Amino acid sequence: MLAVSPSGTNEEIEASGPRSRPVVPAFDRVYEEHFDFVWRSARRLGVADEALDDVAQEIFLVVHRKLAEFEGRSSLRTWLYAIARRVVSDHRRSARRKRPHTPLPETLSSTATPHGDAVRQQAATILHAFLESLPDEQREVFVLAELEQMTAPEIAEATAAPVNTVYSRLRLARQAFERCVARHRARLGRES
Amino acid sequence: MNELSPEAKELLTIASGADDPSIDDKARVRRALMAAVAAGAVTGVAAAAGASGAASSVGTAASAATAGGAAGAGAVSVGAASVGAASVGAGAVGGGAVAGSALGAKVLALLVAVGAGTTVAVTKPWSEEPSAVEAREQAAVDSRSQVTAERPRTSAATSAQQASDVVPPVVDESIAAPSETSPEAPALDPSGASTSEPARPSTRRPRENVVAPSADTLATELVLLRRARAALAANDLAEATRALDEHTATFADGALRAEREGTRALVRCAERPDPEVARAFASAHPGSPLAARVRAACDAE
Repeated sequence: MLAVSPSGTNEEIEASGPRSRPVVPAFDRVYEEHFDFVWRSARRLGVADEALDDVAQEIFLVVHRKLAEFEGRSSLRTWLYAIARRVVSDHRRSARRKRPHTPLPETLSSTATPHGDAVRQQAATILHAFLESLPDEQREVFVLAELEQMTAPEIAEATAAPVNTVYSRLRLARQAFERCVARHRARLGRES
Repeated sequence: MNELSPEAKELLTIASGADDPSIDDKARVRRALMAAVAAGAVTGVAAAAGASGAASSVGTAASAATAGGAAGAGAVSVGAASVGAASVGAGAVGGGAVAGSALGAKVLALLVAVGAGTTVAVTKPWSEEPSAVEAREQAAVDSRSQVTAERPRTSAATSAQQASDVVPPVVDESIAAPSETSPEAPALDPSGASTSEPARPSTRRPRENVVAPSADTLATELVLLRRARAALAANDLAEATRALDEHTATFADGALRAEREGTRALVRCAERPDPEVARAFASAHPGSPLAARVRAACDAE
């Protein structure tokens, strides 16, 4: 947790918001508590490792700008995710235009401990390949439900889709994942 | 909802941690974010505030802070580019630093109305190197208030009004609560254009009549590095190198020297991956948060 400056962003934001609204969470607290979620989400939405920094930063710049408008009607994570997916979507569009080469399938953060990493890395590789193979709308539902433990109504809100649609996307994604796991079963068993 | 099989769940459990950021990642992005907000403070004011008055005196101080010359031109031109990007409302992320500046400019537009000192208040909580950065920020504030005091403009009131006129679009710009967001319309709201509408960069010439030795060089350093990063992100390696060279020429021992060299290593390895470049960077700047990224870029193939 960052030390909160007595005259920092928080007060500016809170002071500029209309009185009728609930107290807006402090920006640095949002960053501290939700950076991991935003980072993971961007990554799982298919942002290449070398672009993650810029995308994460961009997302939080939007958050910084919009936080005063957060109304508490949705959960903060839902709200953050909605911003993240818009930023990522923009990024992917422009990255397609600009990037002639494909990024390396290597993780950016190399601070993980060596032991046990091979298995985890492999599981992650499988998961990423699987996520990449999914249609966008199934991928995000799968990630939010299975990896972020969001409820279907929350996912519906985060992805601006009807709840029933969320359920059906999730069902399809789960079936696809089971098939993927079956394909990799022998390999995982051998190496774990 | 039918559940996943235990096997599938296990795979997810094993894999789930792999996407988490490291502490370095978190700190690095925080610093870049601070940089973007600070860079927005320079470019945003310069580009959005217009010609004169209170707002302009901030812009003046900021430009003065660039120590004139090419660096100043860089700051201003980035600001202009930001406004352009915001107006088009496209490619917000791909542009990297430029888009960041555009948003920074919008953040700043809001801040200007609250008061000139606000910029500093905002950047403080993000400061990672309190002693150096805050001292510089403070210097910037001092020079700003001096300029404001010494150079009162008749149009101050008008300009202040102008500045506050900038705000409502920013605040009211409906971020459409997520629930109202159409999945088919993922673009960042292009209403960013409305925030930059009042900008009249062509009428402002603050650089010509200002001498301010107590400059906020950090802001200028940031602008140059952001330019380099944006160029790198856009695969414009020549432009990235130019920005880095400019930084080297102006701030050989600048506060962001390590970031500059790290970015330079990234540029080199984007041209041709070379592990030696990463090794040299790591030994020259041990503990740099960029080290992991440089290694990843340079160890390719």
